[in-house]
Amino acid sequence: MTRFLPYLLGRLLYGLAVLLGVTGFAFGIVHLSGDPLAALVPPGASPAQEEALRRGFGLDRPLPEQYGRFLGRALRGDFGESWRQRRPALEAVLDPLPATLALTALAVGFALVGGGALGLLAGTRPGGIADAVVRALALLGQALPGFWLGILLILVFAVRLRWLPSSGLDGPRSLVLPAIALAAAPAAAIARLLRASLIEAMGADHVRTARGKGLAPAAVLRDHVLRGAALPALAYVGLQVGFLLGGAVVVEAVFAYPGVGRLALGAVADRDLPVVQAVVVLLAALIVGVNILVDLLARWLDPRVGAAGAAGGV
Amino acid sequence: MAVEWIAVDWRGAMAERGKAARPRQPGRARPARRPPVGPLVGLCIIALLVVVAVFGPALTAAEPDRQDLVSRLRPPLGFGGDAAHPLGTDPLGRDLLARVVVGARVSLVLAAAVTLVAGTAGVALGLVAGLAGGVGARVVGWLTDVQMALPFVVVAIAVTAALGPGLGPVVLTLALTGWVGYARIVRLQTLALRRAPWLEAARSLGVGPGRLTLRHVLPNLVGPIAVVAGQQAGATILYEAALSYLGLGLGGEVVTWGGMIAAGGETLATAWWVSTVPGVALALTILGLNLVGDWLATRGRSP
Repeated sequence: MTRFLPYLLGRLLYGLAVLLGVTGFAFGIVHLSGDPLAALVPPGASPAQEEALRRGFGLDRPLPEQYGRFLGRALRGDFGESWRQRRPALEAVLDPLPATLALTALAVGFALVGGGALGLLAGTRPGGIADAVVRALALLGQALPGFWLGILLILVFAVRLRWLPSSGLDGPRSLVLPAIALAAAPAAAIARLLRASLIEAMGADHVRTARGKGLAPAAVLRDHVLRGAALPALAYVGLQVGFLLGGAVVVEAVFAYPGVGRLALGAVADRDLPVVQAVVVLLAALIVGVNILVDLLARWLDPRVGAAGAAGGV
Repeated sequence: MAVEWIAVDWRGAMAERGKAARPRQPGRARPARRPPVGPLVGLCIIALLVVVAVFGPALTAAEPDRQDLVSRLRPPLGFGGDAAHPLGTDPLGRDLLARVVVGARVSLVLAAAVTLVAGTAGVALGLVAGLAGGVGARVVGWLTDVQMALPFVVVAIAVTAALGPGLGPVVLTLALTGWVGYARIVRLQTLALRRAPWLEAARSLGVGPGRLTLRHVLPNLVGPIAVVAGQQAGATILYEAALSYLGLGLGGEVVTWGGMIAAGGETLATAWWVSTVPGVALALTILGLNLVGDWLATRGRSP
């Protein structure tokens, strides 16, 4: 534990380095297209107005200088003005962010509970009927595209049965269907991972010893099997948060859900580049932050992870 | 009691690790390997897909773009439809079977292109990380982490906002997301190979680093690279469909499964089959590729 602070500091610094690369991507991709001015100039502008805009946005400066300025402003949370919404791009992204975070968090919860329960069911009795059903479900869950699953859910639960709303954000009930669509694939993966690590843990020597000394099966499972077996699933969730945030963008489009995804897709249609850059950097920052948290959690659950990480570098 | 526990352990271990974990009984030949069902089903699906993509357009009489407003929104065969349009028609009367077949071709060609680009970039970066070590390895590791912070939809949004929709941006997006898998496995395998005695021998005989990499290291990585390619094919097709669904895909008049699913969403309440038919095709394709990919991965681990 004495080495915890240096570890945390190093991890945070490295997270910043990763975000530096992300800003490089956000800046570079816009300039890869040639002249970003084309997206900024309103149609019918005179060459003189164009030149004024170019200088106004600093697009006449050399690229490294432009990147330096972009980075400096991004560090202060300034991504420029959304020229569609006529307000700071950061504000435009922060507005719908809570809706997206709520959806993602609920999906993570669904995936952990659903995938965990299925994995537990299959992993404790491998080879049985429950195991076969869970394995089939997991294969299906990984093969069904989230956006198509969303359409099917709308068809069944909103159009036919009228149990839940099909679109928009109108109370917590609106979150259920999108969260299920988003959670299906990670739940399937968690079930498979947990099943595999449960089966491995059940065969481990320390578990055999625990059984041999007469512990109740439930106690063995709780104290000796699950603690170690949950770690791969947890690490997976950490890695998949990025995937889930990306998936949320897709699922938001299916359910016309007012989140960052819908904002970003609108920004693509309008070529609202400041908003696009703000979305890229902000989501990346979230993912990096969650990954650091999961690393810390894994270190707490299993001190060996920290030791290996310190020895092996990043 | 104890015997029962061991039996459970044994079954569990066997279920997890496959036939290899079965304790070998003395005096008995190893039982013949029974071909597993899952991969076989997967292979059948993939074979069917390839046949459809290659010969399909010649086999279906209907043209994917021909509109026929008289027979619009016909349901599939078995749901009140007729044999003229076995999978039904869309709101413009276009034959869904013909469109799914063309969509299969688009999906496969795109997956192949992405595999080529992402595989080449990933293998090159993985070799740098594994062989060069030091700064090179750190830079590649950093690039990997940067990529992990950029989900494919986010990359697609940035790329499409900057470059517009089209084939180039889609391949760029999927290659930018896909190279990491190749780089990781190539780096790990190369690290393991680096100390191999035959490699040491080749080096001491004066084989240069370029030739050493291409002639001695790379051929040993073909298997693991193929495994990654197999595992990623499904993801690539899924991502492409998602991008087309979002309007970040190929754009224009190209028929894609994702685009068909999106268009079918408008008539969901009255004609469920318009988005369900391409959806089933997509899900089956990914299922097939995943089944084979999983099988390749387990075989890759214990040959």
